[in-house]
Amino acid sequence: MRKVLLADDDNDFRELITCILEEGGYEPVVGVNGRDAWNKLQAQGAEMAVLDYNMPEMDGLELIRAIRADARYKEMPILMLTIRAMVEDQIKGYDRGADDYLTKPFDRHMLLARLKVLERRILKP
Amino acid sequence: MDSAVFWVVTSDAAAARRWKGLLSREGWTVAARETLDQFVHDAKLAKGMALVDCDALGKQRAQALVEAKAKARHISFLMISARELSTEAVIELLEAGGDDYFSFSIPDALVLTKLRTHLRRLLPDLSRPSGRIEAPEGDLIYDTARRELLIQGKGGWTSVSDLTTTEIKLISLFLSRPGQALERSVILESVWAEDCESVLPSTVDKHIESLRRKLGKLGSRIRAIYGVGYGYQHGGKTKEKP
Repeated sequence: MRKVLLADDDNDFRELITCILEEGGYEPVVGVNGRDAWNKLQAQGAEMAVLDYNMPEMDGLELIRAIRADARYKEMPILMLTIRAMVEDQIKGYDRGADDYLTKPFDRHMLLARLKVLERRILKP
Repeated sequence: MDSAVFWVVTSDAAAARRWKGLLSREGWTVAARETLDQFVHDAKLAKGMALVDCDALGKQRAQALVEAKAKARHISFLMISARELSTEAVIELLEAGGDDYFSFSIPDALVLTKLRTHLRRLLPDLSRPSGRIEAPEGDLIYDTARRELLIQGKGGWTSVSDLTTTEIKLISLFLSRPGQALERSVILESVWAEDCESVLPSTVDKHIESLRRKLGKLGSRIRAIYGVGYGYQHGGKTKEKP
């Protein structure tokens, strides 16, 4: 079962996304904010990540920067899942190192389809 | 045609012109085909990315995509459409092997950012533009292969010979994002990469000021944007290329 790091400070979204990931056959590694997610990643590892943008202590962009600076996770597929839908925010997310960007509210099947696309990249020879 | 980085597959001539123009300005080699069959025939041994108009897939979109991917095995398929597809239709395409989907209404700045991301992740060896990055005005060209910046003046084209490596990275960044406000953080990460944490904001200003001086009268196109960072402001006539 592939581990997916999830960072979201909103309780409802965090629970919803956790359920969707489990239904999709993934093992969520859950952080309640960016700092917590970073610590969980260090302790438990993960192969992909779903990150919120706005979070206390360490936001999604800071978390991406930390992830990309770690040689073990430099290539880890990252999907940003956020309420921030502005084009400028999306560009900033991609520029910082996100591989895909999905805005809330979202369709659960779309989230899983996007994760499958990223997963194919891991499996690509 | 297997040197193309991007393929554009659409029978919509206006759309083909838009995508080809946009990608060519980035310095990427682009080839266009009107039908999926033509594309698959010409690209089956190629490595790159294809922007495929969903209309080119026919009624059985997912099946057509699966078959095309099986033949053009080293191509990543980015699906595009004139009209927004339903969520179900997009999911079907992604599950059939599509690497992304966006409609024609996507802003140029965002689609270029997404394409750079795809290239960096999927085809890192092709992510460097193959030739030139030129200003929209046509009077400033950076030759990526020769690492040479050319400026058109009254007496013809001249090479700016004393650019530092940092200045080359800066002008490449600005020319690849004309008209965009680039945050300091984006400039820092693009130019200084992993060393960006240790670079002072004033260092960015100094390098940009030096670059502006070396660009002469064209230097004023690099504008400071209060509270954001810098941007390459374009506008003016397109001039004859060397």
